[in-house]
Amino acid sequence: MNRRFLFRMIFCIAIIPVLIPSLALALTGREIMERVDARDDGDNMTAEQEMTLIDKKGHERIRRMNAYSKDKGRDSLRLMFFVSPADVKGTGFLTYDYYSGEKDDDQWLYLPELKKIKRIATSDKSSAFMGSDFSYADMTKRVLDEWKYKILKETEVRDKKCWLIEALPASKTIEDRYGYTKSWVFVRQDIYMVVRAVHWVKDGRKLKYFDTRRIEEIDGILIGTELNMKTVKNKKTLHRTVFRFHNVQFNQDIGEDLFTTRELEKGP
Amino acid sequence: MHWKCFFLKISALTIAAVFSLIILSSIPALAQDNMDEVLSGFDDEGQTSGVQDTKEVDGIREDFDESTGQHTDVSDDVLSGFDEDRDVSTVQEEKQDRYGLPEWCDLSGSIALEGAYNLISHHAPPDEIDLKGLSRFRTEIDLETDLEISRVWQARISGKGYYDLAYEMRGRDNFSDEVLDENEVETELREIYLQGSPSTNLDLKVGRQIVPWGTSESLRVVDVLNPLDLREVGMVDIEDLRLPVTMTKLDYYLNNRWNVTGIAIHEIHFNKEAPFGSDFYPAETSLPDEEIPGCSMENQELAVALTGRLTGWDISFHGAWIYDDNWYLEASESGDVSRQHSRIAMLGATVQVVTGNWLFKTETAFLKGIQFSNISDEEKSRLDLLAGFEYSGFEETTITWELANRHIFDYDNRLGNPPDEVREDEIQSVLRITRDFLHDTLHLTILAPALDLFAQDGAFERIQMEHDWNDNISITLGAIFYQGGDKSLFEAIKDNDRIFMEFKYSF
Repeated sequence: MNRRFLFRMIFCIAIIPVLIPSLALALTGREIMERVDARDDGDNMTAEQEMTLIDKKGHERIRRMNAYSKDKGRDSLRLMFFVSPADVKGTGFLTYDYYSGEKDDDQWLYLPELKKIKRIATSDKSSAFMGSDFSYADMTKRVLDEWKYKILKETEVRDKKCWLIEALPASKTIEDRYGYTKSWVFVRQDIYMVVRAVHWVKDGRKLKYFDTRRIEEIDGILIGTELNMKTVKNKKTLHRTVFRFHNVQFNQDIGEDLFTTRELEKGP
Repeated sequence: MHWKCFFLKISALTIAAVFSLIILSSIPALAQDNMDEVLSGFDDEGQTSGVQDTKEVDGIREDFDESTGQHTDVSDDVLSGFDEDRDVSTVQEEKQDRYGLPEWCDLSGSIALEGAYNLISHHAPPDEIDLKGLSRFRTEIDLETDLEISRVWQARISGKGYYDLAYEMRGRDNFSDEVLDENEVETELREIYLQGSPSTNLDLKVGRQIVPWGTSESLRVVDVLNPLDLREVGMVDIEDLRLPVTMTKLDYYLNNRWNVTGIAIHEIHFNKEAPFGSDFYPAETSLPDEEIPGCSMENQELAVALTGRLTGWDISFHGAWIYDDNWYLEASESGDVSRQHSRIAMLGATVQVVTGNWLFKTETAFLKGIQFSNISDEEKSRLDLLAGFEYSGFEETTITWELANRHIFDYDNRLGNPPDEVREDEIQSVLRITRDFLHDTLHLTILAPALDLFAQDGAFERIQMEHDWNDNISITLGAIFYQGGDKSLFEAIKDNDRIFMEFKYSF
């Protein structure tokens, strides 16, 4: 063994402890988002939800819902009923949310006024969810391959280390479907959770600010139980929505037969 | 003359609709790329910004139910940055406080003040006053009580009532007894039913109820079970259009996608029509008496359906043995004329398919045994076909268009004469546009049904804006324009154009 080779070996062994943390830091934006995607976000969930819509004058409207969700592979089944206010009470949504962006979701709406189940075409996910600042796209998991990620910098949100990652839609179709030309997401380094985001709205020169104001650990699952989304134009807040979860429970004994038009018609 | 008027109104409506869409559509975004400027938009706890953050933050905190042991607030260790105050009443507290009722009893309803004003001078038999002016000044109350009897059994009792002060204000003597009886005061029990699941795959619903069949929003092809309120064409709110009847409904679920429905309708009840003397009544004389079959075993109406909710599409098959909701005139041997309803059999199917932002729908029904006034001794068959689409690709907007053709087999030319006035092929179309504005606080609805492809037989257009003042109060303003045509009904109501409003408090 010549001395030169021996020297190289010693150098390599010596540098390993230095390299390991560097490797952790060297995650790409895509790899970080893969970890976000892989994070256990719970299954078989029941929850009471409360959505407070606040206009620029501070007037509030409150919508309360009972929600149920179940994973089916990468797809999600969701059932939701409005319990107040009176004008939307009894309205129900049943959604088969297919992870693949290629396949349109199945969605049915129950309208208590008409006593009728109505199928909805919902390819465009950029429209607002029940008048809130959240779009239908915001309510579902993003498909990883539909976005390109780049780390912008490391930063802190409320004293927690985060990556600031830029997400750009992979195509014009995706941009149209989500309604965003760009997003910046803050991913907490310790829990791989998106805690903040800024979305550039495709139409209207508006920005949307998403902020997770409260995180709870329920049944071993970390979940944001108070979510804020506000729509801003020229630095002025146009509208704000506060989405709160109550009585969240995971791993409940709910089968696929809950996520049927039969249950949708029966109501909450 | 009515053609010109029709196109002027259609043009005005179209321009108004397009103008609204353009004005409220968004302009392409310009990026705001300055990172610091963008990131400064977040509100940290305790900060305030354009919206009343302080109020919001104060009002948001308290709702978290941490009473269960499963909820572990990790803010002390991992997430200490998210510890916040809590001070707002919870959903559970509000539920318990609701009208002091027990949890198994849920009361809701609304009180409304409705008004309508006729825009054009016109008369209706018996021709006593000019009907231009106030035509509705109504207070209406709706009540609905849901009872949770057990985990699998529930019941509902609902009813409505109104009093229309317009007749008193305009002089009750100026209106026919039929109009006053039908339109001035009404109290009505709506849905009264018991529903539950006697077994895993079986649902039972017994009582007065509404069972809407089909995919269509506005035209009826397979939707034959409930009669309609046709007293004021175009003026009845869609939620009040179908009239509940007493029936027993059994649903058997083959799996999560398919179910079979069996229905026996015990209460024979037909469409409510405009009374003699109303400006929606098309004739100069009152109608003969209507013969309504009693609630005997032999008069039961029966219906079955098979429904599939599949990935990307829905399909259903329907069969019914019912009474025709539309009457025909028949003279008895003594010469007395009465309104009769024929017993008809219907076989039908519906399909709807979703692709992208489009929902395509089609319905078909074959009806056998229809009788008409002009040839009351003959029974005819008819094939109804409907095709339509719903497009929801524009922001907060849904555009629905439906076209139906009703073809009478073995057509007799006498059917074209009054009172039947039916063609061999009757075409109907409906355009419906809805759009929500201002975060779902303002709702625009444009409805434009037409008889015949180019509205040759008559049409009307209804445009309305509903504003949700808050969670309880809504205000609706609207207008409706009628066009006459070859059908005597629409020719008779062509001057009934009116504006209307509603102030509604829901609880």
